[in-house]
Amino acid sequence: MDSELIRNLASIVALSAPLVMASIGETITERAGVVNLSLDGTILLSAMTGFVAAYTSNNVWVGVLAGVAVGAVVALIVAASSIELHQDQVAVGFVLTLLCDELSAFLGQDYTRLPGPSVPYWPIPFLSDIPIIGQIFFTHNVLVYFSLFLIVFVWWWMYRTRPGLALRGIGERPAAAFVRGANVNRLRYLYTLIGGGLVGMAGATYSLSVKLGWSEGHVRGNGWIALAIVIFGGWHPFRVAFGAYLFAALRALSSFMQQLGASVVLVNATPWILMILTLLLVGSGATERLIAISPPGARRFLRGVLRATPPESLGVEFRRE
Amino acid sequence: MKVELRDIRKYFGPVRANDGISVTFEEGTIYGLLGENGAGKSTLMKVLSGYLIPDGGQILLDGERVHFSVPAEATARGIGMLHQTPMDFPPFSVLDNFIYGQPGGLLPDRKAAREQFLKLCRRFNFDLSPDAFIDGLTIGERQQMEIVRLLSLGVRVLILDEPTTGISAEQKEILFRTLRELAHNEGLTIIFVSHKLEDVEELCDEVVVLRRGKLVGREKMPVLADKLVEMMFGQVLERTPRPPVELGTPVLQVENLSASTFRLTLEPVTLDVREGEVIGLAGLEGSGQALFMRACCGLIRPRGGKVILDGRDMTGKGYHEFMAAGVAYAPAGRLEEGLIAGLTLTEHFVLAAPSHDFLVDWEGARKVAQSRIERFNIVGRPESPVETLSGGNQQRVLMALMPERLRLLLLEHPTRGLDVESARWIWKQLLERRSEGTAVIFMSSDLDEIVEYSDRILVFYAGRAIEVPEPASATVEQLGHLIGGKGI
Amino acid sequence: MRTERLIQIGWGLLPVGIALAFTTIVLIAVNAPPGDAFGAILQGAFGDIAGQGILNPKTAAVLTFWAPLLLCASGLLLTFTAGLWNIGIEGQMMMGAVFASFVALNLAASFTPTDQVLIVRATEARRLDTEEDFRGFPVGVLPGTGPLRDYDLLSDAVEYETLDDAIGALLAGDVRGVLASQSEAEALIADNPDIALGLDGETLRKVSEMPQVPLMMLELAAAALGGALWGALSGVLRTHGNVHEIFSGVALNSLASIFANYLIAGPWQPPEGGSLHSTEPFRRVALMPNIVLPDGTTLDVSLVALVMAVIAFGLVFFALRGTFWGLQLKAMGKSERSAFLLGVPTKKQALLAMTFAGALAGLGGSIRVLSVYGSLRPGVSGGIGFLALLVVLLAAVQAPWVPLIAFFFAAIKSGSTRLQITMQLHDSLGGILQGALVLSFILVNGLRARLKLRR
Repeated sequence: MDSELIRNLASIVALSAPLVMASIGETITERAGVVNLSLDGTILLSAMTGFVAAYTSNNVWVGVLAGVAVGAVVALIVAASSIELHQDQVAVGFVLTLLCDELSAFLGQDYTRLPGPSVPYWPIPFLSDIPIIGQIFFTHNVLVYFSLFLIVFVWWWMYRTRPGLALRGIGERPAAAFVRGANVNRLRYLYTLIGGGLVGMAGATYSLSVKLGWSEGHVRGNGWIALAIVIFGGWHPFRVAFGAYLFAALRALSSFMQQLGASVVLVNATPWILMILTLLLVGSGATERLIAISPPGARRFLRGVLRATPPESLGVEFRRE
Repeated sequence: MKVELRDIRKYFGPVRANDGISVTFEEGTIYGLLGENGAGKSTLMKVLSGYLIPDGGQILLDGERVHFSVPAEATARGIGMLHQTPMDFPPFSVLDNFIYGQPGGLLPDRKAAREQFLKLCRRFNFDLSPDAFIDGLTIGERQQMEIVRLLSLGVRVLILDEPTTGISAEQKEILFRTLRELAHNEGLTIIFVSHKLEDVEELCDEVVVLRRGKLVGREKMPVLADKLVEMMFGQVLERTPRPPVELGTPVLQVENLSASTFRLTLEPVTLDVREGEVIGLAGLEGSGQALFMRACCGLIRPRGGKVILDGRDMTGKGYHEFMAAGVAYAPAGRLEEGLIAGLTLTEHFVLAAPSHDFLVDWEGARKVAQSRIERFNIVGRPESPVETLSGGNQQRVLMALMPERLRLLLLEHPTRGLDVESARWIWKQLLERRSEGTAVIFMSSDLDEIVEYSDRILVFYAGRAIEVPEPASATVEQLGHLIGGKGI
Repeated sequence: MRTERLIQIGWGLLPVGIALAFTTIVLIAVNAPPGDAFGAILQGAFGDIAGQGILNPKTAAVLTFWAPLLLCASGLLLTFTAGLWNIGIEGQMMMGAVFASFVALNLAASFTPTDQVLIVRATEARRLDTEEDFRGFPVGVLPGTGPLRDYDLLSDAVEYETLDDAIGALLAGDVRGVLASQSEAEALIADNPDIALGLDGETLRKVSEMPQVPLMMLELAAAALGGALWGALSGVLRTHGNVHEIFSGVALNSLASIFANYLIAGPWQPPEGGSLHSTEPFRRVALMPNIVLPDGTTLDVSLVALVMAVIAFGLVFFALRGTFWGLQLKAMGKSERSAFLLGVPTKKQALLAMTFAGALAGLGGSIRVLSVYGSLRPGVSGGIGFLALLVVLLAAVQAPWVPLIAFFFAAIKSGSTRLQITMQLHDSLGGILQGALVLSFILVNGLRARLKLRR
């Protein structure tokens, strides 16, 4: 295989790490029935916090932890306002998006464009020696490995374990989960916090691994893209991850085109046009139609690969009666 | 297991759903819990199964006092309930649904679970595939799945809430056979909640009757039906005979109408409906009757065939054009699809008025609303938000919102969830409309309702429709077989 | 009874208290004195009311924020009532600004080459060879050369009786250039080594401006059209493509901003080379005139903008309260399905609501370019669209509160720009205060309902 291509693929895996974390995190949250719309703000705030924490402590891991904490705290507000106070998750999430964005700008004003620590490069011994696969997947830093691990782990958790069954259940039909002994609201808190923590980690990954350092709004927009990827990915970890990599690949492609002389406008506009087109693909029912006309043998497979129905009780609060 | 309920009380605001009910259920017996809609049957059973926490009273199992704060505690003590809508997860596979809720470690043993599931299915002659997705199953199959699941958890008391609504005669037969075996051979306590006398008469060993939140009677079967009716309603009801109506010109002509969704394909249907005719659509939920009705009024685009209204070809037109041509459609979920929570009655009447100006004359609108409220006997005020009304009154509002002159009226489950009095009032209105020349098409999972009110009956099964040859002499029994696909 | 009233007021003020407390903590976190910061915002918002009166430059700046904010919030009242989350409002503003800029740049004036040339002192010739070089400096003009305003850059002209007088003044440095005919100039340059050609007839075009009123109409119509198109696009994606308006809105916001940046750096860059910071300034005639007080001082706020905002709000208020359309929007906002079954053409009305909201936001955007900046710049919407979303959320979609809350928010936004100047603090503090206020309002509302339920 062309070594240039391998390098490009490897860099896509590295650059996608935060997008994977954020969209998988939101997948978990939404699977539990909660919409955390605040991603864009959360990522900015945790990117800033993560950088500042790592900068002042001179320890990247402190930065990563700080990012996770910020994400979890924001998610806690979303969860509590919905579960305890019965307020609209979309409204709260939107306000938090703006608030976190402003907070990142204000609190990070003295730390703009400073050279800071970054997560050390650490090729995994032996694995990185595997030709092609090793070069693409195992020559990164720990955060990138974590993003890869996350995809598989979350899939395994959701589709293979008993608590994962409960996770899918509480977002689908909380009343039925309740009858089976699930403490719906407690689980929703838990998964919203975990999901938010991953979003926060995504922010820290930006400032400590992918787009080093901090400046106001430098990763703005990625949260919204992550939210769209969750829909595109049909709330399934593998497909969501695929969406994140596809996005990064197409972005890389468009900047490659720019080197060939395509306009910078194209590069900037690509993610947003992609976002609309992918949502249009899912929303117009084209995929459902494809499933319906496919032969019965392929239908089960296509249903698994293509179906993108949101969890039935997404955004709906659970009350006993 | 012997279940003893002592002085159970449960209030919802001012409504006393259970007002001090004491009753005992012995093991090895099938109990019929009878009562009309709103009598407090479901509430009592939800209390027993831990879904609701009572405001007062005690539950004793084999003499030991228990307290359930969540349903899982009741299940652990051997009490399982089949809710009216099965408590399952439609996008899940049958096996996943079976596993969820079973005790065990982090990783479920799928192979063992599959074997256990299939073994139980074989025992009761249930034809269920563990790999099927639930959203492709009928209500009857979902019930079977839930029974298997509860039995695997070792329940000794099985509560079934209106299980015969929406299932076929064959499925009902299987269900009854299963219940008899569970009670009489294995000693389970079965509580069969229903408002249908025939089912209770056929199945139960004893009957417990509730009325307005109170226990009004308890008898060993058999009991005369009239006596049960008197206990349920406090009086003997007489069926009002349907006044004969002169049929007029054809209103709706449907020619080879077919439609499809992702889940179901409706095979071509041909039907003529004339002025004053009442057509009942029977069938298991999701057999095509709703699809047919929606295709008849432009809510979904037909795949083939023609819809002709008063001689005009309306095929492919939208719902609003059908409305303008004198068609009205009343959906089943009143607050989801018919009325608008948050809007007042006045606002509803303004919205639904056949003509309107650019500006709204609120004072005049209020007067119109007031007169409609009086005419339709609605308990409410013009400025009441519609969600504050009771179910029966909401259905009345829905009727009052329909235009005066209608050519065709389509109704989904017109009386679902209503008490007897409200249901009768609704039908009085519908029959009045009919005598004015409106054609009525309605669907219902209550076969009694279909038999009682239809001039002609269409039975739907798996997307195919057949007309019952002699509707005047059709029986519930016969329809029950037809909706299960026998004879189609 | 009186205690009940006090409790009511207490609940109402609680969110304000929480927001202030939160902002104070944030300030303490960056070691800034909270009192000074809030003082700076107040000072920045209202200035010296005691000394300069209510209408002073600072309050004028607040009103300049208020007008587009109220326009956007009015549009959002329509979409929120219809149950739509029009997050694309920011992009709709941007497109309004772009469309208005198109008119301002291209239709405000037309130019024709002239046979006149401008001559300059030879020593300065190198520096004086664009129109821009002459802007703001006096230029010598001979009687009979033609109406001064015909020449775009000769607004500051000194008239001379004879050409000799003018040349004398030029050589003495009193004026930067002298207007002459082509033939005169050639003779002069040949005779006099101290004189050189400044601008030729190609550059020094005769200008004819469009009258202000029709021009303004065109600009506003274009702005409304641009915003409406962007709003309708979001609407169509929702009604016909099943794409939630939040996502299409976010994407269209970014696309609008990318498009504007492209125009600024590309086709619309000023002739003297793109600075990436703005297009060339619009002609004065294309701008919204500022208010002139009776005492002659000019306030940096446009009456056109204020009137437009007030009318828009009035119309929306009326439409929601008194028209059948407003009732239909309300119905579909509460339940789209039920409204459709009751005969509301929901797709059409959703599209209409989005289109109108877009048009109003577009008008808001026009204020930003035609009154505030006088040119198209990146990020010209300035977050006002998002701020309007907060305003309407804080008003709980109740129209009567919107103008007041919008004013309050405009004051915070305008006032916080002063933080940067006086305390070197980032002006996002205002946004923090606003966001915290809306968030705590929502949460306190939930808390209140919960406590009431328990009782």
